[in-house]
Amino acid sequence: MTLNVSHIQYFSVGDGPGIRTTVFLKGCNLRCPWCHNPETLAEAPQTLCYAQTGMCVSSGRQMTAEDVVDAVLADLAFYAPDGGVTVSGGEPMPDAAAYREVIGGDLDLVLSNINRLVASGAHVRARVPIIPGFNDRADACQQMADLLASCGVRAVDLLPFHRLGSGKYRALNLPYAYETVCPPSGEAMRALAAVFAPRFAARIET
Amino acid sequence: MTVTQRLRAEIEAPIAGRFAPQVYRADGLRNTTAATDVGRRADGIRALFATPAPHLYENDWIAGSIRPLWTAAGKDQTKNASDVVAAYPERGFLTNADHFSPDYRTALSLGVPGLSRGIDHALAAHADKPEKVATLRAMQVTLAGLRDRLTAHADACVAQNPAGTDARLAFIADNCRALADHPPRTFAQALQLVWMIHTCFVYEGRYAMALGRMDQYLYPLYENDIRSGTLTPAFAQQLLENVFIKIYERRALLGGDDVVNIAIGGMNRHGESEVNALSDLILDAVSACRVPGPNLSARIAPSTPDNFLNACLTVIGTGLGYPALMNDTVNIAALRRYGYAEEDIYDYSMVGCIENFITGKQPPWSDGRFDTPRYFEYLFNNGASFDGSTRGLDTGPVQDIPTMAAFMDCFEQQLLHGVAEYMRDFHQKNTLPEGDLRPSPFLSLFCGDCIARGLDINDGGSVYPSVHGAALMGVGTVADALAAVERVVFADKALTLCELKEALLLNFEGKEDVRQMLLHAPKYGNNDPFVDKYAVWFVDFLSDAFDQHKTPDGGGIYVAMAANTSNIYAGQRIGATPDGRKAGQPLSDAASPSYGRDVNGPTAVIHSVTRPDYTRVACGTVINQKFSPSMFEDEKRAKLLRLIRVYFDKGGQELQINATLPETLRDAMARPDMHRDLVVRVSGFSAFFVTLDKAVQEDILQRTQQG
Repeated sequence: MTLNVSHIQYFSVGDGPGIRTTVFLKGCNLRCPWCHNPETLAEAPQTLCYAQTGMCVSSGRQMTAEDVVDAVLADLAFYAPDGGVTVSGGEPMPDAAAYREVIGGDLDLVLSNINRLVASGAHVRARVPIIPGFNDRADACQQMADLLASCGVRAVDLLPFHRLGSGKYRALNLPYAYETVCPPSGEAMRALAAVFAPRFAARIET
Repeated sequence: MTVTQRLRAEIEAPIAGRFAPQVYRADGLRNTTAATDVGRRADGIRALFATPAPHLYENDWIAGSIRPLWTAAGKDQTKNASDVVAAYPERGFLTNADHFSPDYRTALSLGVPGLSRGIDHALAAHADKPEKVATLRAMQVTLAGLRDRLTAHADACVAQNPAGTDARLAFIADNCRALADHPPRTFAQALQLVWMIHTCFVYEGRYAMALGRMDQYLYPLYENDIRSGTLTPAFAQQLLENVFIKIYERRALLGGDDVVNIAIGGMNRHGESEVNALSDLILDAVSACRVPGPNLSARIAPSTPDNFLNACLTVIGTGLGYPALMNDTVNIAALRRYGYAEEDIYDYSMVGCIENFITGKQPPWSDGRFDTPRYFEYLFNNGASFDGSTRGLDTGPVQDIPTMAAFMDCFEQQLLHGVAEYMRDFHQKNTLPEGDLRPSPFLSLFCGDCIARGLDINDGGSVYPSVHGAALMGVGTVADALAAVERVVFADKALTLCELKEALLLNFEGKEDVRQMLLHAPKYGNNDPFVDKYAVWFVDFLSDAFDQHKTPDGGGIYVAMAANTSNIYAGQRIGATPDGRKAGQPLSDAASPSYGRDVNGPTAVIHSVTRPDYTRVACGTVINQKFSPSMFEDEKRAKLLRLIRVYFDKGGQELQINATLPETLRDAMARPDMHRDLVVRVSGFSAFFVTLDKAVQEDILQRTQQG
């Protein structure tokens, strides 16, 4: 089995508990216009060329599962007690067959998957990007909170939008609709976290 | 404002007059009737300690200031005093003058009278040896100078407070008076004695005098006072702050920082943690002062509790830059190679920035710089530097070298030649003319076994011989250069040594293609054994080479991998190197990878930099790492703690962590070249700060300030 890997990031400290290695896979079925990792959208290999530094970075190589495991195990010593590997993307499980194989569920029913995860006793944290003009309002967050609560989720991480990815769009020669959008203020984030706070362990990721 | 903040304001108040300690010393030297050089020096020192009128700050609880060294003496009087003092030249850094960690433990247990009795015993034992008698009498005179200074401070307090109604002045007076006649009986008295001795060293003109393991030698009296209810932790911390903020006097009044190393934590011979309540108080006190000067080192052992390491990280996260984290396991194994007694090894402290020191049992420290990348010039250019200004060993035409093994052989010959040259230079500078001892009677009081032996600290008095530190510059530059030669020249055969030589001599002018090839070879700090093996070799080979040499009195030549900023100066004088570095650019810093070439994050750096054997680096290493302030918030701090534990488990020796505060980010925006290694990490994303757009950098600045 091979995986289409965009890149592997060591010492990921914002992608789950403990010290982690994040494997970013390429290819995504969604097209979120605010996406900060645009090189993970397409499945085909791409090269990012940064004008400021003249540096070029390639994204996309086929790796066997064993190679990925080896790359992840290089940092094994750092993972205790609750770190490890985070598979990210792109969409890590775009293939319904693979999806069924791993979880035994149906790709279409995202909510039922969350329900299953919660029912299986998994520790589920919903990670909700807060995107200006899209869901950075109290009513939108209220709806999200109702939805997640109905699935039995009890913990929420709010990820404030940032435009750190704008350089990547330019490096890929792609337009970025969010280039000039400013990140939500700390105050606004705290107000939205308060919407979740009564029913969730809510946290703002920094 | 806290007492400490008020004291700081007093310290910063302008001072009148001229900084002229020689005026006091000259008075003693003019009036001396001593028959020996050491005796006359002692009279000068006693006058230096005893004559200046004490300065008491209004917020002082522990007395002792350098303000009295500013005098109203005119230009002529000062010049005249300088001439008198010049007849008694002092030792300098290379001749073991300072950078010393005194035996405060013994000083506190004996006190002034106990030290004096010790000298009397030794005088009786050595009565038939006139030189020893003169040395011991001189020690006794300088000790009397310390006693005079304590008494003068007590008297000054009483004079200001005749009715005894001011509790603070009465406190200082009682402590100083008691110390003149008894060993310290309280924590405050112990701290007062240490500070009075320390400032005496500063009066003498010594620099980088360590305070050593304060949490250990002050603990018995601290515990006693706490138990008896005569001291609260809060007041103890205030007294510690009183001392630490006054280290800053030197910067405020003289300009330039002192580097007063304080070692906290550590383990004992059984591997048990020696962290105690004072370790935490010292950490908090240093943190509250927020001044450069107290150079705090935390000795971290496997048994060091997480909550202490956590407290250290919290302080580092405030942007203070210390404590530096030291791996006890590695330092102790490194010192053990030199044959010290086990109990002395475990009681090690540091002087200056990071230099390991057998507390109070060896002469003062000296060190020098060994610029390893320089030897590529001699190798590539038939024994001449690229600019032709210096000559080294000629190992033959570089283009004739057939294999990587042969190339290594030539480079090793170059280094051995350099080491021999370095040692010749050191011996020349470290050795004084026969009969020119330049004794230090006061300093000798605080170094075992000078009193019992009746010998000066630099004349065989100390338990152990002097050691010297050879600071190896440029491990990252050299490892990268060797890996580039192996990959580009010998493995890929993309370049000949002749072409490489041409490119280096041209400083890559018109040879950018060659430089790019070299830059694309594996680089140290990315967990790539292909290049990391050369760092392993670097440490083994050079520590072996320096192990063949000794100091004049038979001590070891320790190697160090620490740079401060001298990698920048060293780099300015070294031509282009095969790693793709251009002439004049900085060398790699300390034991770290070359700047900006470690691109896989801190775990990869740790894999690489823990491959060399640092138990061969007895002086110490420095690895600098920067993290954003959010890494020091509760949840992420636990991850940082884990990172450090793994780094030390894997054999890392030292870690100097800096939090990138908003001012750092602003500086990085203004001067991106100086901050190429600055990484920002958010959920699912990381990037080098300097590669981001201005607007995005502003976003991060905003985020940092909110955090």
